[in-house]
Amino acid sequence: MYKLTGVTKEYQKGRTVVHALNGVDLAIADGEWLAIQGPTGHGKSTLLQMLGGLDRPTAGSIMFGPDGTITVDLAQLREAQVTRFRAESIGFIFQTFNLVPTLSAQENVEAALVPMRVSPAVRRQRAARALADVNLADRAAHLPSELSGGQQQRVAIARALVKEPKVLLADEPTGNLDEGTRDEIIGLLEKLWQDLGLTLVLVTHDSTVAKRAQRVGILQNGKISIRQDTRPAPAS
Amino acid sequence: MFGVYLRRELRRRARQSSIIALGLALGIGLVITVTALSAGVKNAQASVLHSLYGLDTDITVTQTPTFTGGPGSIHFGTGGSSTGTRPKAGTTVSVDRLTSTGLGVLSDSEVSTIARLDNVAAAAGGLTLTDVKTSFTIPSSSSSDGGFGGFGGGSGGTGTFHLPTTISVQGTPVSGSAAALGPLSEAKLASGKTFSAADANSDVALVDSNYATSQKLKVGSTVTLASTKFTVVGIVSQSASGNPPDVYIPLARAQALGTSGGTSLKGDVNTIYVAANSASNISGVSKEISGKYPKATVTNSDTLASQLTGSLSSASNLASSLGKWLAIAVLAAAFLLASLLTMSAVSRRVREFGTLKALGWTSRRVVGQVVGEALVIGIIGGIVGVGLGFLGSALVGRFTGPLTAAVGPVTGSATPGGARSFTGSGGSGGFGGAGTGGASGFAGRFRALGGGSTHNVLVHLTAPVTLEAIVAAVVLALAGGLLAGSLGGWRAARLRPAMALARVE
Repeated sequence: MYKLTGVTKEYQKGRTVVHALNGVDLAIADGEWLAIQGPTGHGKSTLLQMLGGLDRPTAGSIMFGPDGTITVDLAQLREAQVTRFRAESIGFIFQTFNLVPTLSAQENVEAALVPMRVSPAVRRQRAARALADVNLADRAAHLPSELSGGQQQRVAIARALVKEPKVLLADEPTGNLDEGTRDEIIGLLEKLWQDLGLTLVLVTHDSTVAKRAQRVGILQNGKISIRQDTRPAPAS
Repeated sequence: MFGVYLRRELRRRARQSSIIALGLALGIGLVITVTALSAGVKNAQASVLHSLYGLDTDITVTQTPTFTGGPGSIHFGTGGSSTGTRPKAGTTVSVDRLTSTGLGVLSDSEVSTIARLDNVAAAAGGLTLTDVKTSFTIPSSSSSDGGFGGFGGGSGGTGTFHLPTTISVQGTPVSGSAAALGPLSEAKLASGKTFSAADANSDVALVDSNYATSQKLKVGSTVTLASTKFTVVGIVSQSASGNPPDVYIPLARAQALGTSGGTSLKGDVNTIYVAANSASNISGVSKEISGKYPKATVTNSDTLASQLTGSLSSASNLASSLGKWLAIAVLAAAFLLASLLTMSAVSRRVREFGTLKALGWTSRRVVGQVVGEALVIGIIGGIVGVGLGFLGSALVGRFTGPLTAAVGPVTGSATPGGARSFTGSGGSGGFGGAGTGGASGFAGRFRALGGGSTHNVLVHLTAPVTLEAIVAAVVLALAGGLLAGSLGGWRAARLRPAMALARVE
């Protein structure tokens, strides 16, 4: 799915230059679950943003495409193309859920389908189904402020998956949740990964979460090293 | 999604949205009120012009008087003939003069010339005159005495001087399109009949109803002007605030009987009333007449505005200076407030917009959301502003009492009241003076009366809200919303999703 070659990201912070990523080489297969761990501030979220087209590398290439036909370099796409790529191919899950506070759970999920230009009726239907998949059909009309942390994260998962993306990028999805809810969310993600054959890249501090992934990458000082996995990919 | 998101967001920021809308409403309401007040003042100025000159008159042409000398000396003799012989003591001398004072003369041919100018619908000449009746008794006097010894007797003779009585008289055309111009066009016939073409050279008169009441006149009564008896054929009622003349007589008779500085007014007028063929041509016609007659004073409602004094003038200044700048300042402040608050709101929603962009929303869609929210606030402000504007204009009409407009005497202007005091010179001796030798006349300062006095007009000020003002308000509301939305949208468009999501709120 992804082939990263020499990906480097630098940015200016006052007079100093911060090297967020330092020549990262990484390949992620279709349907793989990769967990990325590492100390805070060593580039984990930056790497995730590169994979999602939210930011561009200072150097290097990020090739994307189904295995065997990787042809698109995300680093070279124009803004409109990257936006289209995100709309169609990438689902995001954030640590702080990032739901729109004035929209209900149903409407938050529908927001992900707005760029797809589907009709309002189809949008409502798909959003309702996505909420049902995360067992939140009965909370469709609730605002985020009326939902618990776990419920909000489930809405965020539904929002990420409603457009049937190829890749799910999760940045500390359980970081703001208690232990019980954490397990519930990770369990849900795992089930969806298995059922849908998604490529899942998950950033986490939590080793309990990381060891459930197929592979674990350790990002330190902008460089990544991979621990070999023991878990096979799910049957497609 | 757009509408739902917009509605919910405005509700979430209800207080801030209300402040922005209220600010815009105040600015727009003030603009409408000031615009309405300016329109009302213009209407009032036009009504002043019409009350003085008649309903259809757009322009008047007058001339500064140039004669020197007084209204003419009185040469004693029976019947006022100039024999130069002093009448016997005890003789009562009566003088009845119909004079033009305070206004220079123009000729009938000038009326015709003006009537033929481009964009002139009609032109008419008129004579604004004063009939002055004076009588006094020749005193007995010794050779050392002169003069009349003044009022109530003096050191000289024992003559009696009666205060003059005056009648304001308007010589007016009696037929054709010219008859539709001038002060008589404002009058309504209360009884009798009005002038017809056949009355052009007749000694007939129309009398103002207030004057008729005070003098106990009715249809069929007679009025004596310049020692000529005029039969009252009609009584007309006019607005007292326009200072209408007491008596109207046919122009030809006024020309035959009237004098100006002792000279007959045959073939002359002292005011030309002009109607333009459309309101937009008034200024052009005025310029054309001024170009043709550089010494004449050409007055339309715009130039009249600069000559007005009184509370109407103050209202005009208030609307045009203080009112205008206040409205502009408040509107500018409202636009600035709307822009700043909108940009601030976008700053607070950085993570939200970053998330939407991460979901695949284009910058255009995000900017459209921001602009849409600002436009709706602008429209709400506009609607409330129009309401405030109507309220403001209603308050102006309700609480502004009748305003006065005083016209002339102003040096250099020749409005109907634009007389200047002038001195005459004539025979020696005078009222109350100890003249030397036998005085044969009186002279001295002769204060212009009637045609030379200040005209005070009462007008009721309204502040009509015009369609143009409402359209302007809507445009301002949309402009305010667009400006605020554009600035906020620009800020939203510049957001980089990665940086937006990295922000800690």
